[in-house]
Amino acid sequence: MRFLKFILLALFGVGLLWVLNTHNPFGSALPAMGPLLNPVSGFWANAEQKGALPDQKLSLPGLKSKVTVKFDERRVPHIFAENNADAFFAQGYITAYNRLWQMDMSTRKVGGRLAEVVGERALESDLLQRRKGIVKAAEEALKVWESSAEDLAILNAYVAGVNAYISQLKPAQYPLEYKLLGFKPEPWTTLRSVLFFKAMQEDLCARNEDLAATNTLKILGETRFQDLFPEYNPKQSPIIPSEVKWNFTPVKPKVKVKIAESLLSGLFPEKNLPQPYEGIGSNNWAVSGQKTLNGNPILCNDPHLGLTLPSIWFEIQMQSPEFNSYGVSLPGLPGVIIGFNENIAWGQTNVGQDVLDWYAIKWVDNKRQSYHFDGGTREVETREEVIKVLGKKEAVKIQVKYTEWGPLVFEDSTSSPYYGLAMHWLASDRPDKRSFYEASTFIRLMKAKNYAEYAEALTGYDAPAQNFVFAARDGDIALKVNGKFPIKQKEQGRFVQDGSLSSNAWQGFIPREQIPQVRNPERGFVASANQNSTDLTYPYYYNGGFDDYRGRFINRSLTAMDKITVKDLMGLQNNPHSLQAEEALPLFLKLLPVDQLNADEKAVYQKLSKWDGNYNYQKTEPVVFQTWFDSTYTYTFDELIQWRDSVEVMNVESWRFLELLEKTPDHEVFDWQKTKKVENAAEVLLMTFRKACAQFKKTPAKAWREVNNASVNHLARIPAFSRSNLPISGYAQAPNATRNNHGPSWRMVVEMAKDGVKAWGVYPGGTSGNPGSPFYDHMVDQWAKGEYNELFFMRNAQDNRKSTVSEWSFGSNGK
Amino acid sequence: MLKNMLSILALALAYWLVPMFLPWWSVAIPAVIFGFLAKNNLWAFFTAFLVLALVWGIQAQMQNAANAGLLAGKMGTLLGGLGALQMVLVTAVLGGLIGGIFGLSGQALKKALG
Repeated sequence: MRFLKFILLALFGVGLLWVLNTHNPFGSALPAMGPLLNPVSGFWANAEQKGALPDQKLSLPGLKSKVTVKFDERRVPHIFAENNADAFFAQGYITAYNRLWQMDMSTRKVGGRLAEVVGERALESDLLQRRKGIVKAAEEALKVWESSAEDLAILNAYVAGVNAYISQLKPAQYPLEYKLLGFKPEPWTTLRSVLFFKAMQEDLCARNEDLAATNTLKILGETRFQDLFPEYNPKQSPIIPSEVKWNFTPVKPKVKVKIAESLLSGLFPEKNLPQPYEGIGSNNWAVSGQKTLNGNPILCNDPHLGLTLPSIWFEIQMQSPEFNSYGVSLPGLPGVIIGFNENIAWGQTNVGQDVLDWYAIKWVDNKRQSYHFDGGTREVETREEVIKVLGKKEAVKIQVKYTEWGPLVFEDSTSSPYYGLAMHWLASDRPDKRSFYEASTFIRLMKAKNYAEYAEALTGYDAPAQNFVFAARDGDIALKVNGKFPIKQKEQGRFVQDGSLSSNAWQGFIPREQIPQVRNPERGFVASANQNSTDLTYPYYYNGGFDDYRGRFINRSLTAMDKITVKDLMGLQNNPHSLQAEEALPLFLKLLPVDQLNADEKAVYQKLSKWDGNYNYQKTEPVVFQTWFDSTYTYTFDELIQWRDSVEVMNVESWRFLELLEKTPDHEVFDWQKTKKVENAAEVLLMTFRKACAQFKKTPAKAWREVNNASVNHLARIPAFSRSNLPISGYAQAPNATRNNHGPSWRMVVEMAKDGVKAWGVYPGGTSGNPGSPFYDHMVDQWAKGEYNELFFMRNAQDNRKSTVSEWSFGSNGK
Repeated sequence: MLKNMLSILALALAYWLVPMFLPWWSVAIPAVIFGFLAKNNLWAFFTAFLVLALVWGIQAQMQNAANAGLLAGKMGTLLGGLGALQMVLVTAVLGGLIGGIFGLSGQALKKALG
C-alpha cells in the first residue's frame, strides 16, 4: 500500500515534469512551460540588464589576430581588426550575438525548412519554396561563388564568426524565440548566407504579372488591352535624365517571341506565386556640391521594405587595414550593404524590371515526363526535396521537375493534363564566371576611394538589380542602374510564353557598359525612386513594375531646391506629400457635379478642396480622399475586377486611371456594368462621392493614423513583441512611404565634407533582436518622429570625439 | 529548531545551485532528498514547496528588477494579459508545485522502504 502511494506520487511528479517539458502539450499551442518559465534557463535569462553591455575579453579559436569591438551608446558595434578575415569573423560573431534567431528563421523560410521547427502549418510554404527551386539555385550559386578566392574568404570568415558564437551558447542563452518555439540553433553555413541573399532576391526581383497579363489580354482583346495598359507613362521622370545620350550600338534581339495564348482554350486558372508587396520601393539621391549650401556633396537613401522586429538592418562600423566603413548590414551577409567610408558613400533602391518569366510546357502524354521542344521532345530532370515536419514521423518527399526553362512550379492544373508552367527566373540562373561576385561587391564598395573603384565593384553584381547611387568627397556624384538585364524583344516576358520553342528564350544580356547610368549631370543631382530607368530613347526594351509618383516628386523637389542643407534633405525623406493625391484631387473635384450635392456633401467637398495632399497622421482628409479614390477605381474597372476571385487579372495603373479621367471622361471603361445606363466619369465620381459621404456621416472618418496603421511587426507576428499604430505621416506615393507594415527601413544622410564625412541615420528597430533588451526597439519612436542619430564614424579605435560605452576584445587562442 | 533551519538553508542552496549545472527539472532532486529526510508529510510538502517558490520567486524578481519589468510584461501579455509581477508569482507557484510534489514523493519513498 505504502509502495503504491509512492509509485503514484512519483508518477504524478514525473508526469508533471514531462508535461511541463513538452512543447505543444496535448496538441495545444502552448510552449513547453518548464524550460520557458524557470528562472535559470527560461525567459528570465533573456531579461537583459538595463544599461551598457559589460566589457569582456574572449578567446575565439579561428581568429588570426586581436580584434577590438567598441559599442557606442546606441550599442552600435565598431569593429577594429588587423586583417579583413578577422573583421568579417567579428561581424559574424556580433551579428549572431544580436540576431541569431532572425538569421535562422529568415533562411529557414526561404529554403523551405520552416515545417521542421513549427510543424505542418508551414508545410505549404516550404513546398512552394522547394518547387521554385530556391535551394538548388542557392547551391549552384554557392558553387560558383566559391570559385572566387575573394568571395570564399569573406564568406568563410563570416560563417566561422557566427559559429564561434553558436558553439559556446548554453541553452539558457538561446534567443527567447527558440525557447518559445522549442527548437535550438544549428551551425551556420555558407549555404545559409547564400540563402539569405536568395531571400532578398525573392523580395526584390521576383515580381511578375505574366499570368494576369495573359488572362487580361484574353478577356479584353488586344485593342482594349493596349488602351488600358500602356507600358510607359508620358509624365514619367525617369532615373536617367534625358540629357544622357546613348552612344553605343545596342545588341538587337533576333526573333519574334510567341506567347502561349493558343495552348489553353480558357484562362490560366493558377494563382500566381505570392507577390512581393505592391508599392514596395525606396528613395535615393545624391546632390552635387554646386547645389548645397556649403559645397559638399550629400547622399541620401531610404530603402522601403517590410518593417519587422528584429529589423532587417543591423548598423555596424568595420575597420581593417584595407577599409574603414560604416553603414547597415543584413544579418546573414558579410559586409556593409548601404553605407560610406571616408571617401565615398553609396546606397540602393530597387529596379522594377521583370526578370521572372513563365513558359507553358506542352506534355507529350499525361505521364508528364517529356514535353515538346523545338519539334522534338525533351525529358524533365527531377530532384527530390525532403521536408521534415515537426510532429510527423515521416518526412514529406516531392520530386521537383526541371525543364529547359527552369523548375515546373505549377503542375497540377485541373483544366488540362497537358500543360504545366515552368519558371525562368534570372536570380536562379547559374551566375556567369567572373573574378568576383555579390559578396565582394559590397566589400569593394567599403574599400572604394573614387568613382572608378565604385564602378569596378558593381561589375560583380547581378541581382536583385539596384539603382546604386554614389557620392564622393572629391565631388563626383553618380547613379548606375546596375545588374544583369536580359535582352528582350518588345513585350517579351509580359505574357506567358510558349515553352516548346527555344527561340522564346531571352536573347542574351545587356552588356555592362550599356546599362543605364549617369555621372555628374548638369542638373546637379542624381535620384531614383523605383521609377522607369530611362525614357523611351534607351535602345533596349524592358518591362516591369515602376513607381509613377515618388520619383517625379523627388526630381521636381530637388530641381527646385538650392543651397541645400542636410536638414532640407531629411525633410524630403520625411515628406508625407503624395503626388498622386495632388494630381487626382483637383481632377476629381473638377469632374464632380457640385450642383447635385446636398448640404452635407458640399461640406465634405469644401473640406477636401482645401486639403494639400499631405498624408498627415492626425488628419481625416487622407481617409476620406483615399476611400473616394479607391471606390472610384473599383467602379471604373469593374469589368476587370469582377474576375479577381476566379483568376489572376491585372490592375490598371493609377496614372492611366487619372489620364483616362483627364483626357477621356466618356471612355467606355467608366460605364458601371451593373446598370443599364451608360455612365461616364462624372457620374461614377458622383456616385462614389455620395457613397463615401454617407459612410462617413454614419461613422465619422478616423484619423489617417488609425487607417494606415503604420506597424513594425515581430517576425513571428507575436503582438506583444510588435509595435503598431505608430504616429507617422505618409503613404505609399509620398517620399515617406509608410504603409501599414512597409516603409522606410533605414534613413541615411551622408555629407561628404572636406574635413571628414558626416552622417545621420535611423531605422525602425533596435540593435538587439532580443525582445527582453532595452535595445530591441529603441529607435522606433525616433523613426516615427523623423529624428536622426548622428553616426559616430570612428577614425580609429582610439577616436575619442564621442565616447563609447563598452568594449569587447577578442583574441585567438592564448593571444 | 536549528536542525530545521539548517536543512531549509541547505535545501535553498541546492535549489539554487543544481539547475546551474543540470536541466531545469533537476530541482526535483533536492526536493526528493529533502522529503526523504523530513519528519512527516506536512513538513516534507510545505517546506519543499515554499522554499522552491521562494528561490524561484527571488531569482525571477531579481532578473525582473534589473530589466525594469520589460520582458516579463511582454511575456505576461503573450500568455494572456498578466503583468510583470504576476509573471514572477506564476514562476514562484510553478516552482512551489514541483518542489512540493517531489518533497512528498521523497517522504513516501521513505515510508515505502519502511
